[in-house]
Amino acid sequence: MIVIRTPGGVSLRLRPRALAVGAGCALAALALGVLAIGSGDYPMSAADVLRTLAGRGSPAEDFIVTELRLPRVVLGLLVGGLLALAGGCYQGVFRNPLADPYLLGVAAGAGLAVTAVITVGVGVGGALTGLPVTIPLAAFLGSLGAVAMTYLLGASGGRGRSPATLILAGVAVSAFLSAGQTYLLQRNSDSIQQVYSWLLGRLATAGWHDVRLVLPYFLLTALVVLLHRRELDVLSVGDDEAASLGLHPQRSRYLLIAAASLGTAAAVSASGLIGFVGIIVPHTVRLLAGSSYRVILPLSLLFGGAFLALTDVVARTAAAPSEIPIGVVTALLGGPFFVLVLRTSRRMLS
Amino acid sequence: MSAPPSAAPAVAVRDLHVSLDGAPILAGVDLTVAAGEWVTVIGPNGAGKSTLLRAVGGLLPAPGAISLFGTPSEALRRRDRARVVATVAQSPIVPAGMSVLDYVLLGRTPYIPTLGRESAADLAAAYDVLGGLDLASFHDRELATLSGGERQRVFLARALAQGATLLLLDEPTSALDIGHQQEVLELVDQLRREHGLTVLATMHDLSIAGEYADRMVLLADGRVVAAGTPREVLTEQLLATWYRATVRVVDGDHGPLVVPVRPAPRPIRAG
Repeated sequence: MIVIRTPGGVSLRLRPRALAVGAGCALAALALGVLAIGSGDYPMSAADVLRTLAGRGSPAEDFIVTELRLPRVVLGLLVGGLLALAGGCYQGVFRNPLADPYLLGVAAGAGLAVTAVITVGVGVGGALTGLPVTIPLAAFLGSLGAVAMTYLLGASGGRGRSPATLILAGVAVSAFLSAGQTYLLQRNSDSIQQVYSWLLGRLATAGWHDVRLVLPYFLLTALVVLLHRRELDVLSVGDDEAASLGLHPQRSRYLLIAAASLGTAAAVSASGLIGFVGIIVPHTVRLLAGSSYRVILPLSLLFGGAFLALTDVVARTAAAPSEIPIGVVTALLGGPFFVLVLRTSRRMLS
Repeated sequence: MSAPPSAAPAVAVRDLHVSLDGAPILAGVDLTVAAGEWVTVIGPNGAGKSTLLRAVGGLLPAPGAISLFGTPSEALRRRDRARVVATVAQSPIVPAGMSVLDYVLLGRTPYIPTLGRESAADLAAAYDVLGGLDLASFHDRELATLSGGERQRVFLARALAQGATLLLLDEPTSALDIGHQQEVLELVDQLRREHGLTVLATMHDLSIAGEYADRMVLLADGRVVAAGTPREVLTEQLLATWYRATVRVVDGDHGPLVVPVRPAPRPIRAG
């Protein structure tokens, strides 16, 4: 850490590692964005992509870039950023490094709701699932419903409730909703493939439609979480100490949980359940740039977006013309990468 | 640090009752700590010492029972209370990876607007405290890598950065060896004299407690059973009654010294 003190009393604290990692993440996100736009059935060079983005491409290139690929890349940046931010936020709120965005039942709630819509939709001849908004809406409502159930169950613990109570409530709600989903799938085995392709996540989009759906939640979640990131550092010393420092720990916690859950629900509604991003990205950032949430959260937003943009390129191109589910790619790429970071940072620390 | 109004005591506790989950922990505690005084609460395990400190620190609701510098505690907003009272918990959580400076800056929280960041004044205050405690060269170190005694100094630094005039110390030396215990308590006493702080502490080691406190309060079963100077409280009879301990109390330079002695062995009755 570098502290700059001037005679006028203006002080500035710089965290060189955080700045370097941040700049690296931002550059990576941009470079991967260009790479992602250029790759596909109709490959384009980086120069062509940039020329087209500047508005000087051929009409065909223009269509491919701005209507097909750019929205998908932007959606990847938004969803990856949201999942990583929500994961980092939950880890701080619960003081638990294993917390992920699906901790409070988001995955199970969305899973059950989507399964119900698909199986019932198949039953009525596909009329319901044919609408582009039905599945995202079901996923969104299912996610928020599950978090609400978790909250009510956790709060019913009364005075003795603690962050751990909420995590346990999340486990119970997830198990309950997953049981419902399994039952529906057993009864309607013909729709298993459709359900699973959603469960494993995908960024296939209907142009800018999904981006427009996710963007407001992205902005709201990012704003609330980033503005309160110092409070997460204060919460890290424990509720009693945070309270004796003038904070209202429970109030901060529930505000942050609400914001992170809303963002996760929006991400899930657009792209299904993409695992791993919310847990691996914040940890990688922590190892690379330091443990303050004031560093982790903004960098997770950037790093998560860049990471998902990269995995989407792999998902689209590795087995072309067919697509690998992006959730599979995030785990395949993220696992080894995390181990690598863990090993190198251990060496740096010791 | 603003001086408290001299007339009002730093802490005034009147008939404090606290129950946790229906079980009474404190049953009518009265306690007064004058501004600038060092009062140490002693008592056997489970007597309610930590609960008393938590209540004074505003962490437990105690409507009408506690005043701080003449103001009813519940009339203070949490942030304002944090500028008056600083607590060092018995074993504070040490966040992984947090630097000493970042930890001490947490003490500036009551001065930082909800969505704001540390100002130049907050940084200056943190560096002042670090310098005063000989911790300046540690500012970039990771807190978790420090020794027990160094850590305890950092915990104190965080509390001092709050700019509070009342310091609540819950077992400040329980994790330390005897040399570091003395070092930390000497430091607290020096700070108390330099900054006009008031200290309310709980302690287990009775001799050391008696050497530093102006007054002591013996808490047992949720009530104050004895209060006064160390010489008045640390008597063989009181300690036998409330601790069920067999001790000798001898005169030391700075107060009575409590020496545990083995009780006379009970005769073994043959078959």
